[in-house]
Amino acid sequence: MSKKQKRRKPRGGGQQHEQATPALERRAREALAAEHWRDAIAAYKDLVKREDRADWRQGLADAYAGRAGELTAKGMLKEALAIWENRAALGPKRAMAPEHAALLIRLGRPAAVVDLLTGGTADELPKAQREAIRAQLAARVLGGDVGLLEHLPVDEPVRRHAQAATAALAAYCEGDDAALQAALADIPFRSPYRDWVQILKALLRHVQAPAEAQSLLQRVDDDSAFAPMKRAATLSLMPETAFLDAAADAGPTLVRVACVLRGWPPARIALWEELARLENDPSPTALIRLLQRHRQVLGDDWVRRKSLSLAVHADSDDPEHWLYHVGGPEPDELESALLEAWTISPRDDAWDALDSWHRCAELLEQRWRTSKAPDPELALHIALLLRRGDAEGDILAPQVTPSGDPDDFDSIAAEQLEASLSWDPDDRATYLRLIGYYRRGRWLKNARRLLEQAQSRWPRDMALLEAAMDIALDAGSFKKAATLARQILAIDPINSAVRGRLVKAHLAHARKQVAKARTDLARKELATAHGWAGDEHTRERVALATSLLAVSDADAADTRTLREQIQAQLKQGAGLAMRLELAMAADGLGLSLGTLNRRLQLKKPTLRDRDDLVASLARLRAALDEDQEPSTETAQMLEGALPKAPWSALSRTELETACDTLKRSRLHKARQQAATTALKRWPGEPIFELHRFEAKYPRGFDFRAMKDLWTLEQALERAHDNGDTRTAMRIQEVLPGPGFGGAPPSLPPMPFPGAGNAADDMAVPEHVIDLMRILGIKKVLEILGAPPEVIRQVRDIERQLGEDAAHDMLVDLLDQGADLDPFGNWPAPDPEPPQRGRPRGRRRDDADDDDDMPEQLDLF
Amino acid sequence: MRDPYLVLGLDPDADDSAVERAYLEAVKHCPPERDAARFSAIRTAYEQLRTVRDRAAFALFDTTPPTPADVLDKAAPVGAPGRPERALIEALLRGES
Repeated sequence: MSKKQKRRKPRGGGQQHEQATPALERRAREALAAEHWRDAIAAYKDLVKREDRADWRQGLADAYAGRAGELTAKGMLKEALAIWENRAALGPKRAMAPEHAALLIRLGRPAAVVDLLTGGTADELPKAQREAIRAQLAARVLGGDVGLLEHLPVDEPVRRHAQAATAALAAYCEGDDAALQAALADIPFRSPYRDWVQILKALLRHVQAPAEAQSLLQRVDDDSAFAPMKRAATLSLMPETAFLDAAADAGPTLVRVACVLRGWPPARIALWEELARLENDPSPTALIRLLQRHRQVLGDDWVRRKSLSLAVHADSDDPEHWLYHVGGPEPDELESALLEAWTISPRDDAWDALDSWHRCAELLEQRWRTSKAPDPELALHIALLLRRGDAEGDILAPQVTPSGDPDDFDSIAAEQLEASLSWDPDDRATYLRLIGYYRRGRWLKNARRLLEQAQSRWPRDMALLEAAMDIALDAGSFKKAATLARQILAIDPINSAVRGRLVKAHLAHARKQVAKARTDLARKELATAHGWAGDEHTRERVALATSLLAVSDADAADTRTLREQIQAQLKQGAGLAMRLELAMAADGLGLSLGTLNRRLQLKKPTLRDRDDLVASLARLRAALDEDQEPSTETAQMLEGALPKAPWSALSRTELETACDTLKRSRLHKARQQAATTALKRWPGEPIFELHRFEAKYPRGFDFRAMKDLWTLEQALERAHDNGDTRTAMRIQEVLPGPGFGGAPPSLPPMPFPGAGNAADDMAVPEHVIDLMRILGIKKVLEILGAPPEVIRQVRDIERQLGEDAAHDMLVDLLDQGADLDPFGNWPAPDPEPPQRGRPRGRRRDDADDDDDMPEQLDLF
Repeated sequence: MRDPYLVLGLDPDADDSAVERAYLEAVKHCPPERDAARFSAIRTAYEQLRTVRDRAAFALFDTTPPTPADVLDKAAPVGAPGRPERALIEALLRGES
């Protein structure tokens, strides 16, 4: 039974008849501007009833036109026509809108439109409107309604040019371009068919000169009677991706025209229509079913491979089961292994990832062994699978040094990489990766073995020559390194990196000689380093090191010269930066800074100003970048000079960089000072909260001042809120969290801020215990005002150990806390350094043991 | 991301020279100023298939799901641009969008 449709009330609740006229007029204008056509119609109608003003009538006419357009777009043509007729009824002098005329023609009622051109009032029709109506009639004639022409006078342009326009259409469709050009030539510029001419000209050019075609189409207005054809031609010129998006919103006829223009065969159009019926972003299930339906056309192999890919993206923990469930192909043994490897993230489990790729390689090796004439590409596939574990997990990354444990996963990854070279010995990158890995562990024998294999294939390869030089330097074979450097420079004369590495190596060797009290040999090393220095700055640094060595040797002349140079620089305003340069040069040779300062008669350094601070930090950073850490003496010198540093004169970026540099130099006091100064300007800024916390607890948080921990937890939340993932991750690394033998968890460090009264009211811990049983742990912690981070950690423990275990643990903690100081701070565990860096690989034997074992937290 | 074999119009057993030829041909027909997105797809496809090692890696490790454009290209590749039938254009001009 149909229900009586509830009549929609206009916005404003039908109160407008009671409204004052100015208010109603404002509402009408606002509704019109907001394209709320029905509200605008109601408001303007009311206004016109009150007073027949021309501007209100125009407003009503505009609202009618908008509403009619809305209905036309929805395909409600008759309803739209009724609205146009209401608009026309507003006054006999009101011109018929082209859309109105178009609708009349489209609904098979062209007589009224023709009458406008031929009737007694035709002369009163504005020129623009007359042209628009003519174009509507012209489009209709080309659409096949030639009977219209009989109602038009013989001299009417729509009738006079119809034959040429129709001939042009026929010639275009038949591919007769000569006839088309001839027909177009017969249509004058001011013809009602002129938009049609532009479109046909564009279509003639749309393959060879798309930009020109586009420009011709732009001459046709979007509200032209020929606009649908313009839209189809425009769609046909779009890039593929944009076309697929735009076509989804266009009508079927328009899309079909565009598809044909693009060269789409009927089968493609049909398949696209099928795809368009799926969601905008089809789900893997919908896609795989479509692939299966069209398997014959798409090809079995392609459908099979793409189905496996879709299984990886399906929302399922078991891709094979999903494939079975959706009617996909049944994977063979290798495909199953690949599916498993594809779905394991090395971030979640590096061991499983490494193992799964190795399993795939083993399966292919079996194929290789059982095949009488194995495909050479099979060997390449085996090699790539053996390399995949390392490539995906970056196991032998440049910062990784060999563990030395054959069961550790870096050793296994290296073993698999070496094995891959027996299947595919032409991969230079693998040789270099292994050489780098072995060099970092100073396993030079292994590095040399791989280098020899690689150089037998690529004897003049630059990267391999550089690796050979590095190995020679590692082994202290300076002559060999120099020979290799000359070879490299002969090929690449501007290779400054090679020179830099040689200088660094000779300086390091000079330091060794100083340590052995062989300053004569150290001088020779410095002289050689000077010879290899590729730029003035390096030469100056080597010269300074040579002078310092002379001072250390108590060479009176050299000491006097250097002292005079330094004094001159100090007079010119040199400050801490210059002294740091001296100190780092001394550190480079392992010379005593105190002794040098005494001989050079240097007092404690003074930080001059902002520029001196910035220059000092830059020098320190440059040294750290070259793996040169300041010695204890140098660090003490800096700690003495930096307390008066003008941190507030630095910009935010400079302060961030300064904090990082000071962190790397382990200058904790200065770093804390810099971060504290920054926090005065940018209160609560997560990155500076992190620096202040880390600098305050360089050996790890000691669980004494819980306020600092909460401040950092709040900084973590702010970093998350700001989308600053990097800082958030850095804070998370520093925050002590629950873990196996790691830092102690920050379990309920009550009383929480602002929860003092609640805690006082429940002075007896048993009450809290009862509450936990009744309300649950989370609720009680919320009542006590625990920070969200603490609640989250408790929830984590609850998930890991179960509700009962978490409950008992909290009860024990509360008991312990009550004995000491009810709701006071918990006993402070031993300080632990914050957990940092890449987690070490776990042993293979441990992997299985961990699988089902709940994580036991070391809470006490 | 598109299936590189379909972007370049290559058979699965294409060798280095076939990949090179297809790439040059594709770039000639679709320079960046004409369709930047398609040019970028062509370039990416070429990088994915350039050497035998690249093609083997694609075969073993690529898990990109097929896009609707892949399905269309595989089932019925785009042919030479055509001209619609007169009836289709007439229908469009009559307002049958």
